Amino acid sequence: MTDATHHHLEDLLEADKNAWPLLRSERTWGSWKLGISLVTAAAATWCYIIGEYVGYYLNFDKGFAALFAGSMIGMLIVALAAGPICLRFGVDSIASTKPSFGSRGWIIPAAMQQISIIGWNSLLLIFFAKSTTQLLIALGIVGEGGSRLIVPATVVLACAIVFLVLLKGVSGVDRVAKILVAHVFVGAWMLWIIVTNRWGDLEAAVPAYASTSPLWNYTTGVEIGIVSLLSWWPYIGAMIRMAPSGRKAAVPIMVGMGAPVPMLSLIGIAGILVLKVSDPAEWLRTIGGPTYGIIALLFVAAANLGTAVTGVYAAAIGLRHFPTFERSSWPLLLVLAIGPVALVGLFIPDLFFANFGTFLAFIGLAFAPLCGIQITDYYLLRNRKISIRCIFSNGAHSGYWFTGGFNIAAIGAMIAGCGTYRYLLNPITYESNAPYEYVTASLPAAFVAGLVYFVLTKILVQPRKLGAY
Amino acid sequence: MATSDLNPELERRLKALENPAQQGEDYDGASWFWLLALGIMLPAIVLIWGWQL
Repeated sequence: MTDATHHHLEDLLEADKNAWPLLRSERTWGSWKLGISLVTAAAATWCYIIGEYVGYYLNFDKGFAALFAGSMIGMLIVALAAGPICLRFGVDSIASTKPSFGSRGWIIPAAMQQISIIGWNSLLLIFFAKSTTQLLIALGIVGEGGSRLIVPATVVLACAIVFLVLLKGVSGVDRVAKILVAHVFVGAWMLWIIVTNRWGDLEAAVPAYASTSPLWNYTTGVEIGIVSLLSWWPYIGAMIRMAPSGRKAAVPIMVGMGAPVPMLSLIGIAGILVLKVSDPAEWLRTIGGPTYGIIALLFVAAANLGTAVTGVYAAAIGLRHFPTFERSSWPLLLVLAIGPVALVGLFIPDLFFANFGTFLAFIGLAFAPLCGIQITDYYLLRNRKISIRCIFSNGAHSGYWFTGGFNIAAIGAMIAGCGTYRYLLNPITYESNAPYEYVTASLPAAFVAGLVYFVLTKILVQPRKLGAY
Repeated sequence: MATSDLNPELERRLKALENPAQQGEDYDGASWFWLLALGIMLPAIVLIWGWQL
């Protein structure tokens, strides 16, 4: 290896553990490699819980249609919001918000990112721990009381594995993706098992909490799909920045990241409708005995590990934007990104699990307006002109400094978007107001946020020559 | 614009990326086709199909 090559590799390794932009020569992922990494990240056991929630309101066929449509719409919104800036400059999702939120205002999406990723990772690792416990109890290896120790122990073990995999940066994501993508086929097999064994029951099953309004149920299925995929916003930048162009990324994003969620969610819809439980490790054991249960558990482990690796990587890169962590060691950032997950898994696993629906609605409430703002800013207000130097210049001299580092148009638009969502759909009770049944809650929230952002920018920001428009 | 507070490696990267030829590419025509086909047209078809089930 020549000195020049050695230095290049060192720079690349350093860059992928930083939030620094990647040079075009370093962005070597083609469509297939990106697609496989995105599939591995997307296909996790959150799909079962998402499917479970859809199965509360819709039967198998309608549930799939609503969830699939909503997921692809949600994926498009995320791809248009964070995608262009991440693809052009090789930056992560947080950096992509600086032109619209400001040199300090990015802290708002950064906080949302951390909460979202901590939430999803907690869910995944607790799910894995619970599946492990159930299987060990079923096999007679531990007694019923054993779960009190096994759940926290499994969560900590999984966190340690994620930490070790990511010590070398994004190459860990790639390495894990190559191995774990096989679990998607196991997921297809599990779906085939339940559909062939219980098709009659599946067709006859009645959703437990279906409203008297079929349209409300259908719209809620679409809404769950949209918000589920909006939760990819925090992840997407860290992944697609490894690809050199939109052409190489567009199909992998839509097919690799958008489609697996509704496809695997079918397992959760089927499980909750027929067996009243969405965890395949539990219902596969019911159908096929301990062997099937072990296969399902291995699937759960593989699926969740791959996604947790991606999530923690994205969270650690996001932390790098904070001046405090700018020069912190990579292992410290990983500990900070994984630590809260371990704490949730150790101390409040059941409380967190029981409030998944609220967490999901929070995603829509927060990320739909954010996406609306980014799309409006990039396509309508900036006409695609972005200054990479302003993104990384944090002082008052930066073009994206706005007012004290914050863009009041973005803050006003976030408030308007969140308010719109809250009016249309209560994230805690799921009570809705018209015209939710016809328009969902996420789409109007994104639209209103974009509109308010546009108007406030025209009235308050551009006349004062702020924001480098 | 003052840049002295930036890490030299970051500065090197910014300088390179300010040249459009060194940047990645935004979505092109083919990308937009797939984005709109898979993100709007396909969901619309699936929604109509699903409602009729």
